[in-house]
Formats: sequence, C-alpha cells, structure tokens
Amino acid sequence: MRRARGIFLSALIFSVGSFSACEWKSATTSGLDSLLRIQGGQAVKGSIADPPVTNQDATVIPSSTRNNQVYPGLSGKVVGGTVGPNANAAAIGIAGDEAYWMVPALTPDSTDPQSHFTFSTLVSFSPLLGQSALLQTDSDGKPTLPVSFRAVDPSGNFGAATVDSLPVVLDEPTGTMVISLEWDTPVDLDLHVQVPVPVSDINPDGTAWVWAKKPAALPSSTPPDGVLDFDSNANCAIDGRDREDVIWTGMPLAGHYIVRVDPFSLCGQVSAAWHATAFYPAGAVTPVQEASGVLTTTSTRYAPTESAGITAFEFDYP
Amino acid sequence: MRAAGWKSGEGTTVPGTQWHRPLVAVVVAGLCLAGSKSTARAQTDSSQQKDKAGKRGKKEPPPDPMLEIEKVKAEFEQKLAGQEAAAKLREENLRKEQAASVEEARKDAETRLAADRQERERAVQGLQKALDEATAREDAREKSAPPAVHASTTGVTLYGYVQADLQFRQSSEDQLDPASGQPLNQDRFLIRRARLGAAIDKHYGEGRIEIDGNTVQGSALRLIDVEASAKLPGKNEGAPPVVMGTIGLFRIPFGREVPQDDRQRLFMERSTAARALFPGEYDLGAKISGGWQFVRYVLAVQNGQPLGANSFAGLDPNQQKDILGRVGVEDRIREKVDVVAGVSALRGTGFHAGKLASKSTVQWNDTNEDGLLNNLSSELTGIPASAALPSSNYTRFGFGADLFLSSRLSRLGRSSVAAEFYLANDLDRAILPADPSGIIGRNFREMGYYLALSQEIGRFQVGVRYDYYNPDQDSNKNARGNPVPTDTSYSTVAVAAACVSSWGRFIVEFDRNQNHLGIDPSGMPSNLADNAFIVRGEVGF
Repeated sequence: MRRARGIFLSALIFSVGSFSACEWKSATTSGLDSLLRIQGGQAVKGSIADPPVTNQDATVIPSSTRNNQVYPGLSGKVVGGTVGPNANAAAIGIAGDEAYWMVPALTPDSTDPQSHFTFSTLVSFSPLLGQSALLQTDSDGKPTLPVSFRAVDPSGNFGAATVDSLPVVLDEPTGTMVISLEWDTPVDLDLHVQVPVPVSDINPDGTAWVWAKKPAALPSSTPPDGVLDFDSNANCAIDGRDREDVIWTGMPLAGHYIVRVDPFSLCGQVSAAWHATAFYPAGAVTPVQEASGVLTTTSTRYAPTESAGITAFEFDYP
Repeated sequence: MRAAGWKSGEGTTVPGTQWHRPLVAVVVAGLCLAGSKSTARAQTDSSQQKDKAGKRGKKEPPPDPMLEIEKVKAEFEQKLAGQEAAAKLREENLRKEQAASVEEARKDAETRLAADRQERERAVQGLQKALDEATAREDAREKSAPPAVHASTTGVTLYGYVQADLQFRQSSEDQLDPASGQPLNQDRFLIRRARLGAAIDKHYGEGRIEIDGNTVQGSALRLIDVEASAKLPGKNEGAPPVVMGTIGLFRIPFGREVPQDDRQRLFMERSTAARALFPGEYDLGAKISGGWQFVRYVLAVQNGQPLGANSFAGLDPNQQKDILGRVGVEDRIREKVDVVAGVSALRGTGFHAGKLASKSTVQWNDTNEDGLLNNLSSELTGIPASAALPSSNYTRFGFGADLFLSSRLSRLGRSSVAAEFYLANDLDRAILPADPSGIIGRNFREMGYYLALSQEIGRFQVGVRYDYYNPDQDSNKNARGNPVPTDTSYSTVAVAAACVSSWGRFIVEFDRNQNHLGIDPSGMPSNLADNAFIVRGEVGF
C-alpha cells in the first residue's frame, strides 16, 4: 500500500513537472488581433521581425497589385509574389504586430521552376487599421502601412524581409456638414435628420426629414444635397458597415436641425449601442454635436415613421 | 402472647383477653375504692340508720363484707364473661363482614377485569381488522403502483416545486416584436418555474442535481443547479459546515437576494438590479463557503456568463474568470430578532464581441423618388466587403450590501424588513448590457437598491417592495452641444399577498413599473406603461 502510494505520488510529481515544462499556449492564433488577415494562411503569434535571418539566400519578391491603396476594413485584396531559391512559403505581416501569416508557395515559378515558387492570396485589413500605431507616414505626411514579406524554406529558416509600404486611405466621409450615426452590433438602425428646406407646398413648415425612405432633403436639387449615403443593414441584411451619414457638399441651409436614431429592428439582438455626431464646417476634426446611447428591444415597437426614433441631439446651423 | 394472658380464677388463660388485664385491675381498684367508700358510706348510712332505727327502736344485722365482695366479684366476672362473649361475637361478625366485603370486592374486580379484557379484545380485534384492511389496501396499491424509485445510497432527497402564473401586463398588445418576432402580448398563463431535484447529504460531502422547466420563452427544460461538494461539517446539528468546497453550476453568491431560494421570496421576481447584474442567478464555477458561529463566508470563481445573460449564457468567451464573494453574519439577537447581513464584492472580465467579416453589397436609394432605377451614379451605392473586427475584453466589478431583519413583534406573526444595495461598473448583462469597449467607449456605472417589508398574519403574508435600478448613471456623459435627457432608470413598487401552507402558496402581486423605455412625440425617453398583475399558484414537496 505504501509502495503504491509512493508510485502514485511520483507519477503525479512527474506529470506536474512535465506539464509545467511544456509550452501551454499554442503558437498559432486566429489572427484577428493582427492588422492583416490572409485567406488560406496560418497566423503565428509574434512579430514578423522576430524570427532571425537564418537563410541569407531565401528572398521574396512581392508582385505588384492592381491598386496599392488600402483602407481600414478592406477585404479581399489580392497579394502575391515569388519566393526562392528553395523556399516554399512566404511570411507576411507588419513589424511589431500581434501576429504574422505563413502562406504556402507551392506553384513553380515559370522563370525558374526548379528553385522558385509563387504564391497568391487574398488579404484583409483590420477595421482598426486607422487607429494603429504601426502606421508610418510618407514624404507627403500621408499614412502608409509597411507590409513585410519574408521567404521561408522547408526547414523553417527565414530569409531577409522585403518591405512594401501601402498608402492608407482613411474612410471618413467629407463634406461641408456631415451627420453620422454608427453602431457596433448587427442591427438595423436608421438615421433620421430633420433639416430646414425652403417653404413650399410640399414642405409648408420649412422642414423635411431625411431618412432611409427619403434619402434626400431636396430630391430635385442639383447636385442633391443633404443626402443619406446608405441604409446600412436594411431589413437585417447585414452588410457590416454599421454606419449611416447624411452629407452636404454645398452650403447647408441655416435653421434648426434635429437628429434622431430609429431602431428599425434589432435583428434578434438584445440591445444596440449607438453614437451620433455632427461635423461642420468642412475639415472639422472634432464633432460639433455628439451623443450616444443604448437601444433595447422595447424601443423597436414604435412605428418607423419619418420622425420616429429617439432624439440624439438638436442644433441650430450655423 | 397468650401465655402472658390474663388468668381466670380456675387457672386457665382466657384467650383474647390480654387487653382486659389493666382494665380488670382498674375495675378491681375502683371496686375496692368504691367498697371502702361504700363501707364508709354504709357506716355513715348504718349510723344514720342506727339513729333512725334507734329512733324506730329495732336494729338489723350488718352484711358480711366477704360475701359482698364475692358477690361483686361474681357479678364482675359474669359481666366480664358476657363482655368477652360479646366481643367475640362482634369480632366474629366483623371477621365475617370483612370476609364478605373482600369477597365482594374480589368479585367486582374480577367482573371489571373481565369487562376490560373483553373491551380490549374488541379493540384489538378492531385494530387488527383495520390493519388487515390497510395492509390489503397497501398490497393492492403496490400491485397497481409504478415501479418504486430506489437510491443507490442512503441520504438521498427528492424535491421539487411548481410556480404557475397568470399574468397581465399593461404593455401587452396583439402584435409581434419587430426585433425578435415574439408576441408582444404578455397577458397569458405561463409556467414560471417547474423544478425537480435530487440531493444527497453525507457527513463529508453533498451533491445536487436540479432541472428547471418553464414556458417563459416557450417550453424549455434546462439544467440549472448541479453541485458536487466536499465539506468539514459544523459541530452542531443544523450548523453550516466549517468549510465546504463546491464545483459545478450554482447560484451566484452575491448579496442575499440572488442566492435566495425562489420559494422563500414573497415577491414574484427578484429586484430589477439583481435581474440586470446577475441574470438567471446561476453560473458555472467553484466556491469555498462555510460558517463559524454567526459568521458566514463564501468565495467563488465563476465563468462570468450567467444562465440568463444576453449573450454566451452558460459559456465563457474569455479565459479570465469572475472572482466574487460575500462575508456576513447570521444570528438571532436576544432570542427575538433574526439578523442576516453581509457585504459582497465581484471583480470580473467582460467580453466585447467583434464583428464578422462581410461581403460586398450594392444598394439602391431612390433619391428622386420616381420608383425607377434611372440614375445609377446617385441611386446606386456599393459597399465593399469588410474584414472582421477582433473581440476584446474589459474589466468589470460590483459591490453590494444586504440586510434582513425578522421578528415576531405581535401575535399576528413575523414581521420582516429586507434591504439591499448594488453598485457596479460594466456589470449589467441583461437589461442594458454594458460594453465599454463598444462604440460608446465609456464605462457604464450601475446603481440599484430595494427595500421590502412583509408581515405574516396567521396563514397569510403581505408585503410591499420598492426597487430602483439605473443601468447608466452617466447616460449624458458623451453628449456634446445640447445634451438631451436620456435617463435610463427603472423603479417598481410591488404589493404582494400570499396564503401560505406547508405544501404551497397562493400569491397575488401588483407591480407599478416606471421606466424610460417609451418615446414621447418629441423623441425624448418617456415611461412605457407596463404595470403588471400576477397570480401565482405554487406547490412543492
């Protein structure tokens, strides 16, 4: 009995020792924390600059893309290149990022099918790209994204990095006045804005509502001004944009503006947080008006008329 | 004794005359004294007679004293013999009477005993008959009964209860919720809780399995309470264990209201704050709990996704666990007032869900309102595909304090007061789910409390409770320019009455609800009329 107890304790201690000696965390990851996501690739934790150069000969030549520009959330950008000699994979990532990606290069290159291989894949960029500290600026002061490519041989030896800086376009609507509504759950919210318009038979009180069913305050104006750019997640067909803007490119009419948030449908969600802003004049960096809140399922029971919704803010322009 | 008896003149002992000896001596002494006196008197009389005779002239001869003595002695002996004979006769009669009475008593006793015996025999026969009938009925019932439930070990308890409701809500309407597609009508019958459980309680261990059925969101059956515990029992019977370790699915040990059994609460549901911060009351984890004298403690580690949470209920989307606990007292003061009080705390990690990737879409906006797709550049908008947004974590915490007092202040029954206070940060997981990592980008500070009074009146119980909950005390914090009112608080006054028996309750409750779920014509938050009247039948075993 005592001997059995000793064997059991020894086995337990050995198991604990073995357990603690092992690397518990997996080296691979989903890659969602990184700025890049590569279709068909395997994300590896750590910066692409971490692995030392152990194969001086292995090189990678990225191929030129149809459009070098990228923007936050861009999905499906084609990226490819050639690795060699005797390399059969490419590592792609941003130096300093949470993870980099390993992409197999198994197609023999037509120019040197014996030692060089090509790869091609689709790259997506994080919606948080615009907030990343890893962005750099070019000589014109515009943001760029330094994408690193490294060839990897079958033994896992990395070659030197080739950096391709991609210009970043921040996807912010511009105009003389921009009223925006954003949310962060897959729901169908609608931006309703009451704008001043010239008094007419159609608008005897001198106001009109701009919303999904009437996307322009003055449909006959040329160019149309005070226009809703998109009805996001309309009828719960989730498009991932989760944002609506009413944009003026000309001079907005002076008067009283009312901004409301209409929870057309929460699409099965329990609640939805929203954030509404108003920017003017053109080039304004901070919002003149701002409000946020949370809508619940109870809020969706009201009829979605043009003036429906909860008031976010009101203001007089100018 | 007889040898010491008095001797007759013939030298024989007269039996039974022992008590006569002093009497005879006294009598003889008396006679002698009387004789002397009579002699003296006789002398006096004789002298007087002599004087008289002398006067008459003729004198009689004096009587012989010995003869007189003999004569008196003979008379005395004759009287004595007569008395002895009478005494013997009385004694004999007495003996006969005693014998007769004893015989009579014996006969009476035998008669009564016989009657009692017969009566007992009849009773025994009656009982035997009843027993036989009961046995026959039991045999018949066992023959027709379903198979018996056998436990694999001793100490197993089976329990359960049903709470069936009829409710009316002011906000009911015969429409569907645009968000969920569920009926907005809440005027209905429903099974609020139907619990069935089995528990085992051993000296050093406990276990429990409980399932819950309800029709709140349609018919559902789910696992709700599963515990495996090892314990060091308390010294006294009924005392809590000194220390007990538990792993499984159990009530969140925060405050008094959340871990309270639903059968112990007079009011239909927990306060709004408890339902918002700890929805569903149950979560998976492990805990250490116990008590010593009047001190109670519990420390738990749980997933942080209660069964009633709005997302990932019963799962755990992040690796971090919630750590929470309560320290309190439970005692009776001066044998009159029961006191339960404590403070609770929680620190956990919430989860902000990312966004899934989307594909490219095109949308048509009929900007010129002609119903035709005729201006492609202005009426068609393309939305490119979007990459997925990563998820993230955030820290949340909560504090609580609770107090319960109960005492029998009058003959009516016990009077109770209960109060609880909640203060939390990003802990709401049901009513207005907090998400500081979301688009609002700030913390949600929650605050809530309730005060409840209840009174027993015989088999009845009445009570009133006021509860308040504000899920976002800083709802205007991010407003710039001219902030609009965005109060999101809830308050309820609940009045309840119950008829209580050992096996169940019948409860009625009226809730006067105040909220900010409505929208007034100017787009400002307003009260959504949502008062409720609920009738509940409860049966348990």
